[in-house]
Amino acid sequence: MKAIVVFPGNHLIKRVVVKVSFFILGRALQSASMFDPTIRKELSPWEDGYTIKMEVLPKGPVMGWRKHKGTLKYVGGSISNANLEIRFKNLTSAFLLMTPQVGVAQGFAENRMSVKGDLSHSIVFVRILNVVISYLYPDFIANRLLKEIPPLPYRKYYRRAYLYLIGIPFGK
Amino acid sequence: MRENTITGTSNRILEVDLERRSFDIITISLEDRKLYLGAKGLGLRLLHERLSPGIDPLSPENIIIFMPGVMMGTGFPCSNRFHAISKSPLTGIITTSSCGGPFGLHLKTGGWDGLILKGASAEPVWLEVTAEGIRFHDGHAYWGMNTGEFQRAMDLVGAGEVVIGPAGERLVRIANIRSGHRFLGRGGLGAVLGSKKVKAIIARGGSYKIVPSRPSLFQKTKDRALRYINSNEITSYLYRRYGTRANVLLNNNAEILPVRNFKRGSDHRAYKISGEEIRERFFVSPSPCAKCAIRCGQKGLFGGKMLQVPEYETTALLGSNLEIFAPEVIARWNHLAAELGLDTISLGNILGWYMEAGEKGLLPCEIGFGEERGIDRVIEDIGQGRGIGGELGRGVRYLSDKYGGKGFAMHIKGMEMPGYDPRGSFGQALSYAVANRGACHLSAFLVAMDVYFRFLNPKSAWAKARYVRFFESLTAVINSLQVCQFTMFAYVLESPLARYTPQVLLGLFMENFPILAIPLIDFGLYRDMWRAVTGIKISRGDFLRAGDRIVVLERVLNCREGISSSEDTLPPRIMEETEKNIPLQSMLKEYYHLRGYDEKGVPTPSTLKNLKIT
Amino acid sequence: MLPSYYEFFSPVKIISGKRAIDNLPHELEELQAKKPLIITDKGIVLTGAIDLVKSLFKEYHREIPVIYDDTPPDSSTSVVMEITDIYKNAGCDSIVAIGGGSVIDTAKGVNILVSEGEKDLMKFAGANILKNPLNPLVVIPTTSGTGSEVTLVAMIYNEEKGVKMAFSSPYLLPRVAILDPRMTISLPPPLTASTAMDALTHAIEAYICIQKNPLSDAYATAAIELIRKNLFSALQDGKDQKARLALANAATMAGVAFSNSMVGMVHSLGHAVGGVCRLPHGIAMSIFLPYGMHYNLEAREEELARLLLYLGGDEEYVRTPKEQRAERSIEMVLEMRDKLHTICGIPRSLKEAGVKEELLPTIARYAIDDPSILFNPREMDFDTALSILKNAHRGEL
Repeated sequence: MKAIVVFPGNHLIKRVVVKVSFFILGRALQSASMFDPTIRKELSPWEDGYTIKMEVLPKGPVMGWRKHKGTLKYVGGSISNANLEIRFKNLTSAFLLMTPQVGVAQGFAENRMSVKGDLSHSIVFVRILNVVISYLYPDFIANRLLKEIPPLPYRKYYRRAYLYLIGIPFGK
Repeated sequence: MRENTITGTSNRILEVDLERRSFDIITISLEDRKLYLGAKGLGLRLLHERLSPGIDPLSPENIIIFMPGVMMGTGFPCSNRFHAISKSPLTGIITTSSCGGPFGLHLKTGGWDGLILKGASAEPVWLEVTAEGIRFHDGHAYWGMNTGEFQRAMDLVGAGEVVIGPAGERLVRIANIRSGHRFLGRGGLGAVLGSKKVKAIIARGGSYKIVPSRPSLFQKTKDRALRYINSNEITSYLYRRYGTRANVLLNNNAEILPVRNFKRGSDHRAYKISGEEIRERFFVSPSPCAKCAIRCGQKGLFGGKMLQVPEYETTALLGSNLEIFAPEVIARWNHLAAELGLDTISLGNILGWYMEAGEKGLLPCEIGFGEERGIDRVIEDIGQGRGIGGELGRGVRYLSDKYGGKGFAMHIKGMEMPGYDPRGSFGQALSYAVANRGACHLSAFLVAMDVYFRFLNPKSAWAKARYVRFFESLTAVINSLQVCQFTMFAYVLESPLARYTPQVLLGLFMENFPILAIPLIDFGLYRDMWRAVTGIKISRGDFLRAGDRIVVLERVLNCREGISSSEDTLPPRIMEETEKNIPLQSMLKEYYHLRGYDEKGVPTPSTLKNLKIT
Repeated sequence: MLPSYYEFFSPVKIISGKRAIDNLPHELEELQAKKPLIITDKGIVLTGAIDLVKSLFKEYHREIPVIYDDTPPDSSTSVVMEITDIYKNAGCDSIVAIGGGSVIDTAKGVNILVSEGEKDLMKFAGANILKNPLNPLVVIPTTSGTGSEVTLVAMIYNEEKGVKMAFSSPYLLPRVAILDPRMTISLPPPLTASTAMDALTHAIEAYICIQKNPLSDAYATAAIELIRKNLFSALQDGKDQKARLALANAATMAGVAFSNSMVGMVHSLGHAVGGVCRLPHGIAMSIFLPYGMHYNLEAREEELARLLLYLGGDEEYVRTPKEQRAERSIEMVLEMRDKLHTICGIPRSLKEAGVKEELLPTIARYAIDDPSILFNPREMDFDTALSILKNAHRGEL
């Protein structure tokens, strides 16, 4: 009987999608931390130079942020050890979270990520992500990802437009 | 049932002679009302007519005027502010000060549109304002009490007071006047009342109802005002939730927070004294001025006692400026200063100077940056004017003249600097330099333009003079209506043009085309509220010109006391210890030109003629 | 309804019953553990349990293991390091933890350091950081209880930062848990009640939090039923071995449940109060449980309705109309609390527990940063947390 050989699938597309969405998320968070008072407030107790890293195991895309003067600056892939590290167990997990199919809390519940660092900081980070997600996605998508949409009454649609037109492309 | 109503203004002002214990009732002509509007503007006009130049501010020749505006008592949002105008014993020039306490409301609803105090009483008195006039009471029993004690000792139900503390009584140059839990803070006005031996003035209101001249316009404008206030992020979210302390993190991130006697602009510990942190730790609840729609006032539980949460300025100057990052400590000092009757901005600056002078060995000093030990005692001494406190209470200009250390004495024209470092906002730098009462952030709050909204480039001089001029005049109008300055955030920014234009575009437009942008700034709501309450028609141009007039009149009064361009400066630390030099002279030149001053900064005769200042 | 994806892991061998501890030496041999270190505290020594264990080893012809009995009531990093040194110097190769939650957490912390050969515990702070199995760990719980004998978390106080750090990893799970009624017989009524409420909270929260799955649900509901049926018997007669064993089982089952489905806001609030005012964990759970159920009612009405079957019994379940079942569950818990208050004085509000009102904002701050809030069905922000705390202070729902 012939043995059936299973070829490894082509993960290139998934990898590219994750890389691009890392970039978008990175820039979006950088921009939102400049104009959103909720994010600014969550960041205030952390010292300058605090780093957060998101990485896909084993050799996947990596990206991170560094706190600088009250905002989070996106530092792309050039980040080694960080104060808080969130590691996706595999490319699929990262893919599911980054293309918004699985929410952040849901992702943790399904054991898709591991966290290195102080877990209470990770909760603060999740709150910040919730705010960014509700800026990035219209309500009907965000509702599936988040337990509750954080209250953002001020100029939300205008800020969302700003993020897409200026924040993400130009990093402001 | 109160039948008596007042429309806009009762036009009855009490002019009191403290020596003779008599009073007159004077009125304002319609012309003057249209030219000067009320509150600050009218107060300056009345002072101009009465005050002779060159007198000693602590002598009986000084005059102090309390004036609410036409908006007081109408129930319009954020209308509960009144003004006091006098010559300052701290700076030697005119000081105007604004307060949200209950005195203004009761003065107006008692039927009076203003109160002028001349001369001085031989013995300590307290004054009662009734519907008929002024009654004099013996003040000996109350002399020496601190402000809180006095408030508890008197029956203040249905009344509003202004009262001075021991600092005012001892003629401490940075003494303030208290009304309710708010203050006429700057310039040492407490000492002026103290020199007149007036412990307090209590007004019993409620005799009159203030009604607008055009009720339907009034209601429409009020609805619009409330809508704007509730949809603006600063007034309805940041200030309402965190008080003025919302500025701590904003300033820290922009590096304009005063740290260590203005040596630095930020500190990583600043979040500990931020509004956000205080709200989450100290059981904060609202404690606003009456009829306020913004509600930035807060009180909280500090060390088991319910105290007013310190305002931003206090938090910065008595906190980060002294490298103290414990809100309980700052709240305690705030309370102490309130009871003694001391201006916390000047106090913080004096303590900062004192600590640095001590470090540099200029005079013996037992307190230091970052340590709370010993400071309570020093504040007490300043309040009572005893020991080294007697010297310290005279302000940093006096101290640096006597002991040296001018390089780090943070004052302009003798008035100590508020909690915004101008090296991070050149617009504010110009605003400080030309502000009529000295280093004042409320004269034209350019930090909003430069830093908070990032409409303008903070480290550039371009167009700043135009904006300083405009906002000075607009603020002068707002202070003469009078409503709270914080409404500017909402009324100007929530108008459709400002609201829907993307911030980047708006910023580019405002920065590069100020001549086009400034006329488009919509302050129509202020004009509408004036028309609705007084029924007096006034064009947009005339309205703004009234603001120009008020600012220039104040400048005229100051020039009479010897002010010129050589006093329009910034402290040496700001000019020298900076990364990027502030091009002050070029900004001043442009500003003088816009205002119609000559190169010495004195208003020219043709300017005075154009503005009808006689 | 099956979740679209879940993970469940419970490899702990559970030995439960009369004289179960007698099996300890044999179990250690099966694990190839030649030189165990026994971690316990002075309270346990006083009950005579350690003497019992020593005699077992003698009987089994094994040398008396090394004993550390100085564990303080709150595990901390310095204690963990101290014990690590003792372990290394004595050449131990396994740990037996005999005690309550803090002893077990300390033992887990020590196990990390000795197995990885490291000195800095903070390197491993977080979730799913450990990469290798740890040395054998056997746990004999003496309270019923935290369920730590079957959970993959350990909370250890970091003295430097002044906060409790969370460590979570499947490798932290003990190999064997031994439930012997002799260990909990001497537990006084207040402790019995508060630890039972801790177990009840674990079970209820495990049933409603977002990581729930059919396996954890089975353990959770079984635990609730056992507690309902046996708690008051154990309170009436402390020496009732059957009741004690049932409660021990309930605690362990609740532990398995929440180890796999996590807990929620009741634990966030409880940890925060514990951190700020040192309120004992079980009492905090008892106070906050109804508030947690009530707040999550909106999102989990069906589940809370189902719980009535276990909280109230089948008669109560059938008797109550469908729409009212969820609220009846909350009422059942409230009734249970009232009875406990009458019998042994367990506080029902923060005020009764002596928590000062002015600390509430600080507690709210810590509560919203607690890792367990992530798994709560609903979001909890500062204002919500503060208002719940205020209600809990007054004792109103």
